[in-house]
Amino acid sequence: MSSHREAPGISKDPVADNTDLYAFVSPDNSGTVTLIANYIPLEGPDGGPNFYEFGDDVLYEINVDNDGDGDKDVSFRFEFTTEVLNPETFLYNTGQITGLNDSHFNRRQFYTVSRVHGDDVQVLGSHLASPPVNIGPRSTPNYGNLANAAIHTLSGGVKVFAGQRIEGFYVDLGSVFDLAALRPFQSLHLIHPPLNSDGVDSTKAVNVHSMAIQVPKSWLTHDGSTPTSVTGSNSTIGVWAAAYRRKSHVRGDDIESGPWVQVSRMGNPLFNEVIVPMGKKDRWNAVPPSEDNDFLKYVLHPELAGLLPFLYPGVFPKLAAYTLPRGDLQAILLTGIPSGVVGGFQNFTGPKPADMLRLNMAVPPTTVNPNPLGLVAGDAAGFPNGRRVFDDVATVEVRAIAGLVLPLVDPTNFPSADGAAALVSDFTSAQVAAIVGSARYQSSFPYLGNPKDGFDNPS
Amino acid sequence: MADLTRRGFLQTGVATGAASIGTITLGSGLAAAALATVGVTAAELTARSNGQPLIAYVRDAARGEMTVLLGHREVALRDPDLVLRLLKAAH
Repeated sequence: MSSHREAPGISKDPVADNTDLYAFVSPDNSGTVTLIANYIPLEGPDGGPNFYEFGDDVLYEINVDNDGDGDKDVSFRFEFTTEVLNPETFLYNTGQITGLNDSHFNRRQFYTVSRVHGDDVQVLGSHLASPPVNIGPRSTPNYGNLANAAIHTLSGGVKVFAGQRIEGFYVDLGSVFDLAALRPFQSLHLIHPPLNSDGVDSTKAVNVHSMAIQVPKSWLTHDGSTPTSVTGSNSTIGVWAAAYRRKSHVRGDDIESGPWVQVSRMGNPLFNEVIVPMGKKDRWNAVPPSEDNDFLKYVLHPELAGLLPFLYPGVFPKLAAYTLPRGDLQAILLTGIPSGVVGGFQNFTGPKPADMLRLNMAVPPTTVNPNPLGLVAGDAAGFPNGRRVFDDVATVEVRAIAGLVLPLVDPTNFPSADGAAALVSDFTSAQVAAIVGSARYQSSFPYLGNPKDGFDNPS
Repeated sequence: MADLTRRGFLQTGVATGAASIGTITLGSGLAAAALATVGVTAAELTARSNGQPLIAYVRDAARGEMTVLLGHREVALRDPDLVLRLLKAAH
């Protein structure tokens, strides 16, 4: 998946498992950037009686690098506490929850959100309420009202939300993990079922927990200015999310001690999942992007690029013949795209290889008919220029690994891609259009739709 | 309103632990005597620990290397004598 259960260690620690990260210029407030980090993979909406919640013992951060070194310059930190009105009941809610202060809302989470520069920690808001999970029509009627009440506007117009949302990432899990089968093309697979078919939207009825914050662009640049030029030195930021746990936890005594230790991170979707080999995934989760030179070789020679021609015989002959380092993937994932590759666009942060979601904040948002295929489809406001909630990142990355944009970077040795590189996807385009137009997404903050309720899902 | 955070449990745990130690001290009187032999008081020790548990582990016994955690601090040190005493205490 994007980064759900993507490494052996973190797959056993869901509340610290960063599943997705989004960074985009807010379409309805273009002077700001919205950053969203999701945690807790594959939440079943009916997962009670102890429903999903953030970890009180986890420190969550969304980090921003604005000088190209792969280390954090600005962070937004979220710390949670859980309060229970009545610990003498097993019930999450003792009746209908009609407001965030409803006495029936028995188990509640609150959080402090801070802006961090080095040792300077500025608390932006404290004891901010999260909404309840979406239990069902009896327990959480008018869920939209509950969720909207948990959108907090702080000083300076900053907006923040932390709570359950519907999963925004769409992928055909059962298919891709069955030897990279893509149902719309599976008749071409080495081990082929008889007919192609539509993809299965595996995540359409599961939820996640999101932390979303909308801040002025000027908060993110190295010089405190608001970028206006796509080519400006202050226009591009690198973003990643990370979760940290205390170094020591003594079970039984329940003592925690020592510094915060990073246990999960995420920049580009699918990086740790598809690029990093199993034996190094846990280490990748433990180090900052500034140490990603250690993983450069897996980007330059990705395993999946070798598997595609094998699993789809005769479909990717040009890809199979290309053995040089993949400079295209290095640009997309580790350095940003330099000027001159895509006309009028760049999000290059320098030569330092670091897996970060790079956002050129001077690119205006696409407010009419945004293309979920983003930059490769001519929509420079989308992935891999940052990432919007509806971007079809699985398709973009599979096509990139298949060599779709390699001719832009190495036209001499790879003048054109295999025809299939522009077509492969786990969904048909009609399916993607239906997903993007669904209630999975909303046009205003926090942009991810209300979570599925547990009474009706699974159905 | 009950605070059921892990930090809340931590504070409760510290308080409970301190009470247990107090009970042992009162019962035996040996701890106070032991402290006196090294010229330190219980109050001084409490102040040095900031009321927090200290966690130490021997990282490499052969090299006498250990790590000490207190609050959010982590200190790596090399002290073969201390490592030996800890190992003896563990057996």
